[in-house]
Amino acid sequence: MASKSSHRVLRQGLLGFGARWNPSPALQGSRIGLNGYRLNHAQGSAASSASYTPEQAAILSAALSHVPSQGFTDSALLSGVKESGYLDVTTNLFPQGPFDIVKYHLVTQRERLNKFAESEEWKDLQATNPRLGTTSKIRALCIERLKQNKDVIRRWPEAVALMKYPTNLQSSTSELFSLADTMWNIAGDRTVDVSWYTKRGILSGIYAATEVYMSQDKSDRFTNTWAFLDERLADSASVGSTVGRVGQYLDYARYNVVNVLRSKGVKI
Amino acid sequence: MSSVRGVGSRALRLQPTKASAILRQSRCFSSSGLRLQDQKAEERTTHFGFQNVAESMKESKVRDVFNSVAKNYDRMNDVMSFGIHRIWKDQFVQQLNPGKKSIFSEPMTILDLAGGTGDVAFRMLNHARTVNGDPETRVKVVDINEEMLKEGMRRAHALGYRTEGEDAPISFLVQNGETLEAIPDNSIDLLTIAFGIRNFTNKEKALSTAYRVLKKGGVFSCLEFSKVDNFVLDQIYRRYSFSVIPMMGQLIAGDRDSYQYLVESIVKFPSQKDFAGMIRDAGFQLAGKGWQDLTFGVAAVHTGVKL
Repeated sequence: MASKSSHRVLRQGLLGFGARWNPSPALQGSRIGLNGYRLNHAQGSAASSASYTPEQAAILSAALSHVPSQGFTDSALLSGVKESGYLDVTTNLFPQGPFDIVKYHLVTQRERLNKFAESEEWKDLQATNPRLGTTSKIRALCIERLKQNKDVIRRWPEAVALMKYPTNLQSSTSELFSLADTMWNIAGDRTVDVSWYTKRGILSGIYAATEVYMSQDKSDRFTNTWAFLDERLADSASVGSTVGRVGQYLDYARYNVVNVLRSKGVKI
Repeated sequence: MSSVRGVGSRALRLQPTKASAILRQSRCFSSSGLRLQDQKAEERTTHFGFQNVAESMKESKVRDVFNSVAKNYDRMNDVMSFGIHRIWKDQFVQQLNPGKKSIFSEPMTILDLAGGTGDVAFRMLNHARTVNGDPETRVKVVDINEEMLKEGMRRAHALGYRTEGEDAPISFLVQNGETLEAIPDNSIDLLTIAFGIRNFTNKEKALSTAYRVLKKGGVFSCLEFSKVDNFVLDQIYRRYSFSVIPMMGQLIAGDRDSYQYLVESIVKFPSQKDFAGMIRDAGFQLAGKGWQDLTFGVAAVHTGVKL
């Protein structure tokens, strides 16, 4: 775990110049859904577990239980179908084949993370560390999510291969982006500015890299993976602050241009 | 008449068709084309190409069409689709992956509805045997038209398949696809229909019958002409289907009217989304979004599963 001072640096870095600007209450309000629930910006493009019928969910979770032994393959899907009491031909319910198992895992685990945010464990963590920074929260959430890959992690390279398939690429990247979005929302980041994208982009990258690292990690209880995650988060601080500085420079340039034009009598 | 052809046009070729006798009596396409606008107002009629006919007559008209095209059916398909229909059918079968996949599974019973000359059925058998190593999976080819089935049976014998007996790998059966009286409930693993559902008088009834005969977990899959979603391609496609196909039907098969019916019936068929909705309404769960476009949507595969 990184030291406290580096957390402060990280927080400023990741938040970028957005941290200087506190959105108006109206804007903040717009991020809260009508039912008062936290609004997830990437929701529109991502699947939700509600899009699975009970039968589909039963088959896919049965298939997932066969992944450690059979991998993310057609045969795991077939085992899931047979175990749920259906026929060989029923695998046609899933036109994307084994990628449907991967997607089901991604969607259900992302939603599980939302539930985790309501859990006692998460509330305790916040209560015991009232000054817990955004980056620490992000770190805790990454670890919480990565731990859910434990059972299938040795098969994860197969899942990555499926996710990179040209026809699957769009839905896997939007799923990854939704995960980053979910994490920022739970961590309590409310800023709405240019850094909204960079924050999610950077976190997606860190998460995906750590996931791949974890699939090769032989250390006890994945300690190397958590160290790797800390290093990536520290790296991102410099990226984030670079983005922030570019933003500051652009702001400065804009004021200059406006002032020069005003000095020439342009009414701006 | 030419103005009418533009009316609802789109569509392209393939699959038999014909209705010559009746079409000849009412060659005036323009009036029939306009009449379909208020089709809903008239009860108990259905469309036959751009004409409206009494529901009771559609069956016999479609029969006439297929009687007249049975012999030239595959040759015309090749000419009109530049052979692409073979690729579609190959992909259709490959994706369904028929045949048992493990020694613990039962062999499949496949029903190929409106299977006529058997070209999908033979692909199924071939796939089950060569890809899944399953020589026991059986196909029942069902069609309302005896001429088409006779053609299929001839080809089965030429390929060396037995067609008689309980355990024959392929059998042929004359049945109305809307009722399938001879097929028991919950007895079929996979029900396919390639370029056939379009010609049914009552598609909803055919879908609910399919639901009846399928086992729990059974799959309904349908390969059919559909709607091209790209505007430019659609214009080219319409032009092709409404001017070239009937002409080729005349030149090659000596039967313009049947192919005119063919292209009109394609235009009248519901869009991908609407048809997927009909499959869902029959009780099926859709696979993914419910369909997959082939060649920009000229054809589409719709799949539903009975769970």
